[in-house]
Amino acid sequence: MQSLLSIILLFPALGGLVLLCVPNSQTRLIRILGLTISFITFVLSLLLWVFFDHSTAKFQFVNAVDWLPFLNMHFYIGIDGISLFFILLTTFLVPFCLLVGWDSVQKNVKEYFIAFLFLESFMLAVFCMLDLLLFYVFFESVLLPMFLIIGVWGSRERKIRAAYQFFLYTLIGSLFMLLAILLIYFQTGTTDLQVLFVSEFSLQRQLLLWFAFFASFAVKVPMIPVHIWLPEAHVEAPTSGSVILAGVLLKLGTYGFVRYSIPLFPEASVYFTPLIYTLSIIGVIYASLTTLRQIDLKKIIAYSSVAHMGFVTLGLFSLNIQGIEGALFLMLSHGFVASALFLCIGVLYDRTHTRLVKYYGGLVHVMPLFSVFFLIFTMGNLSLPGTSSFVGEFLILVGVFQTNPFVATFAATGMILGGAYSIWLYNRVVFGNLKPFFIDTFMDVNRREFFIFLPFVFCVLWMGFYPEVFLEPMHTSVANLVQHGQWRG
Amino acid sequence: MAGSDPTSVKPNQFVELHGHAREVVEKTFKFSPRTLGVIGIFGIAVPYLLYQGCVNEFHAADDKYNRERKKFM
Repeated sequence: MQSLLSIILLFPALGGLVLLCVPNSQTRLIRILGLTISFITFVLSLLLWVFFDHSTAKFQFVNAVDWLPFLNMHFYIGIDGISLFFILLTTFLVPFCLLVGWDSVQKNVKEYFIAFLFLESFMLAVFCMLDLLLFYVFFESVLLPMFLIIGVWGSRERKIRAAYQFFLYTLIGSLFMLLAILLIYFQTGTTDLQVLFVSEFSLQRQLLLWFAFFASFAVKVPMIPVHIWLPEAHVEAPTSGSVILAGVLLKLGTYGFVRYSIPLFPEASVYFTPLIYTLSIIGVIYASLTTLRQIDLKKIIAYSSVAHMGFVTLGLFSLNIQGIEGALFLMLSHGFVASALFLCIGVLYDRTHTRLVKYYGGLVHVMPLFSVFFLIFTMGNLSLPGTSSFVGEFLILVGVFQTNPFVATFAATGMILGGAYSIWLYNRVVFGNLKPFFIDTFMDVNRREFFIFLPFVFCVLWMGFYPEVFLEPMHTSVANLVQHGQWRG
Repeated sequence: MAGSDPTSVKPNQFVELHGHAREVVEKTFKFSPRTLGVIGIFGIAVPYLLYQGCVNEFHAADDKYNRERKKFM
């Protein structure tokens, strides 16, 4: 069982290498093989949940392999309650990404499947890496397959611009983190996370290092004002690219905050808390208002993602158990809800080849099943009680209210604005009259799409009605993180 | 792309132009006294006030519980 995590980590990449040997003409074999590999990875990752010990905050399923032993750097992996569900979210989403592209991706099919399988391995590595330098390596390596997915399988001419924007924004931010890692290495002589957890940095050094990490993570979250790449990337990416972007890649930044910035630099985290709060509130309110003005379906969901991630950063820097657990829960919930909404938009785009809201209306008359699915995910997006997002946002508000009621009051307006843009979007697309002069032939969801949506509905409602299943495994690790910090004294 | 199969949208030039203009903001945006004023208010003044409000709230809590005031940026 100890090597289970290594197997999960390597399996998709090895599967990608196997696909390399399959001739390009065998597209059906490539599709079935790719889907099977990703599905087996998901099943294996479920075993992590089954055998995960909830009672300890220690890293589990730990594996270490010498990488650069003369530099005291090791390929060191393990998971705790914080990273467990991000592994599961990643392995859950990838098979659906492959299924979404089943018919719509017709060119470079083999490369598409290989890109996704390597991307999966890289993302999993980020979530379970316990070495700072290797975390950076995999954090950056995610850019390559994603750059190709947007640039090659994107939908329009602006895709190249969007791919470059995505690549450059995140790369420039991350260079500061590399410098910070070098500084940490030269001070402590190691990049082993477990050793770094018990190392102490002076306040001045913490401030410098925290800001360098922040420059990298803030771009990835994305926080305002470095969010511009996200709507562009979403609009130009294929549906599967948007799903993985919203579902997993945005979480890499917030995961970085909770795994590295907060425990390694606790005093600096307190020092910069008002900055994070200010950027988060602006993110929540500004992005929500911007969402109201958008006319492209994907941009609406993209900007609402910026608003939700603003909530997440608020929760993380509340630096208490409720806030951090709420943030982790909302990250997980957003992974399901936003991904499902992008799938809904993908269903419409596959049929009509447009994402402009003005062309749509009255879909409830001709696409009733689609309208039901879209309703459930829209309700999830506006944090309706009974859906997953409500639990996350409620816990975050509880956590933030304990530390700063002024900030919590502003953050709460985000929930109201979320309701406004979500209901208005649903109203414009689904209700009202049909617009036959724009679109006159309609087709409801087919069997493949129906079975893609069903697990997402199940997860959104399960997390909403019985969140304890997800909160309980993360509780010990979050409590340990809060106790570890020095902000409490 | 649009109009290539039976379910595709029939593009309307006004909707398309409106959508295009909204998309290429970097080409349509112009600096003017009005836009500079908006940037000044919402890009500098509002964030500054929010930041000060946030810091004041932390300090008020520290004073209430007789703790030493936390240092912030």
